[in-house]
Amino acid sequence: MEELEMDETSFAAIRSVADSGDPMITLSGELDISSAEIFRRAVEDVVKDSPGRLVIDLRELTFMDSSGIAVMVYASNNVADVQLCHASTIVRRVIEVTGLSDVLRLEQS
Amino acid sequence: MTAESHDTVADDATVARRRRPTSLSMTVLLVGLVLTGALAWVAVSIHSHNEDRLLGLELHQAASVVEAAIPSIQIPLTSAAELASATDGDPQAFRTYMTTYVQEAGPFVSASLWRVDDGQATSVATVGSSPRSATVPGTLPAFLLGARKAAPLAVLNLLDLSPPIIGYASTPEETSTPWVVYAERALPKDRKLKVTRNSAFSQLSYAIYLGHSTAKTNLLEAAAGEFPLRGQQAKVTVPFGDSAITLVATPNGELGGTLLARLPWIVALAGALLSVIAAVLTDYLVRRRRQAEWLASENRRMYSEQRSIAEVLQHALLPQVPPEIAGVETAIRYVAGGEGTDVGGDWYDIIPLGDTHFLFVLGDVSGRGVEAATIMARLHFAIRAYAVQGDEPGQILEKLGQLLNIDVDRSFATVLCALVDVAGHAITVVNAGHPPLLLLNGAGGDYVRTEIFPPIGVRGSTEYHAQRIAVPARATIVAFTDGLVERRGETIDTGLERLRALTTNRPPGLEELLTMILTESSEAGYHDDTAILAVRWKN
Repeated sequence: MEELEMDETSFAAIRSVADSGDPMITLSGELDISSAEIFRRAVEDVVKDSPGRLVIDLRELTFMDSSGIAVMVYASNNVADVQLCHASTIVRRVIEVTGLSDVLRLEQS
Repeated sequence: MTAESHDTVADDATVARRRRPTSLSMTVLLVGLVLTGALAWVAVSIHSHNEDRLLGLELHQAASVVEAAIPSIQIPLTSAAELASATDGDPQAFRTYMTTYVQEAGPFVSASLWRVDDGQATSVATVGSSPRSATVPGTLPAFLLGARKAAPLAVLNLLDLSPPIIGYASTPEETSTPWVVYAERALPKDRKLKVTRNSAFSQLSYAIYLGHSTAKTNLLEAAAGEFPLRGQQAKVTVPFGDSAITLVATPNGELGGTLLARLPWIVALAGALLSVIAAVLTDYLVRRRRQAEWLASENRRMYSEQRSIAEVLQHALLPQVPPEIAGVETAIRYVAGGEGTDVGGDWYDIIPLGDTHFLFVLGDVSGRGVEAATIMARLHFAIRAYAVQGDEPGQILEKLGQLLNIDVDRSFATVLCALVDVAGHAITVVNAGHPPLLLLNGAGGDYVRTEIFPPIGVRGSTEYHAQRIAVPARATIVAFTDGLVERRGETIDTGLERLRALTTNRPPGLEELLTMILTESSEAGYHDDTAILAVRWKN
């Protein structure tokens, strides 16, 4: 665990390193207009180091609206390879219904 | 914000800048000075009390010294009287005894033995000079005659003689004897003695009087800078024979030491200084707080302004009443999010194109506030321009994609754009990341499943291909933004299905349909911005 950012409700974006050695951000709670900024700051920190791949773990993410999607798109535009792992059905469907399945690659692993 | 509250805000700002001290700091200063005054007064009282007490102590010490000296006068005389009684007035015995005591150094300058009977006083023996009292006619005989009553020692005040004299008379204890011993003591002419180094007197300026009165004529001895004594005084009376010795003293300087004397000034100065510091500090803090309050209310005001600007923008952009279009009925609704939230980025538009066609649009810019509202305005006007130019929906969205870039604008927009051919009962629709159209026909309703393209702004160039969908007669199409179907804790499909099921049992009127949809949706919770647009073919 490198860094913990908490906001008052339930959202958290925890930065760490995946087994593969790539930077990883683990999201938990609800990602909406008020917590999207926290997520964006975490992504900006990762983008600064110009990694080849970013892993985003969505196992504990219970909600995501357009503000969270915007940050995800920002990540995929600025990191060569972004992997979204363990997305719940809710999150998966949001991405699909918004037409972003090709832009935000969801993976099971 | 009302005009009144704005004035209050302005007042706070002026106060923060004004040079005049705040009333609170003046109050603090006043309280501080009053307290200081009280404390200084207490210090003065303590000091004064202390001085009085010490003066009294010193004076009593001095009185003890005087008292201790009295026996050296009284005892020789009473002894001589007893001797006279014992020797039956033998002059020689008297002279022998009294010679010791009649010297230039004192205590007496004259001593004489008298016989008093039948109201007559007769001198029997004399040592030293003859009684000076004899120079005042009638004085000595009267004194001698009254001496027995004043036993053991009678005192005669002859201080107005030159040099001043005190006369003493003593009689034996045996009352039947006629003997009276008389002696005189002389005082220095100027009655001023150098201050003895006796510590009992050194801190005092004193005056000693014979008798109870402090009249100048009675002055025995004085060591004083100024005479008569002025200022704080104490008096004590010591019995002396049938008379008394009165001591009056005034202190030289501070008996209690200079610190206690200066204490009131120290207290006053320190207190005043502290009061001023406290007042200045209070003033500073009050100003800072007023400034902070002013800033806070300015912020609130500006935020409200910003929100109203965004609201005005939205109201200006979104038509409240849809245009009349032949062959169809249209209805639109917009419900803003709850109080206190920024305005959202939802919008809709209906653009008539000639008599037979019109374009409708539903869009949702991500994010909130003035930023989202301005992006929404940009897209709204661009779509109008492209539509009027004759672009079909796919082309419109491709061009829109050039106007928005998520990396720059931090937002993207989902858009549903459809060209309606009224007479042809068809729509050419393209969906960029937006919830699907709902088609209500007869008793049922279902979603129009077309390809979902990425939202505007996600990728620079994306090809958008519109699809032509046939619409049955008297069918209704409903387009909406995700606020209507998105709920926390459930997939979006659940929300979509709920909406679809709701519309199967629908009221006849289009407006009533939208009202029903909105009511049901708000009861399900979660208040986000929602825009709904409905088109119903009249035939």
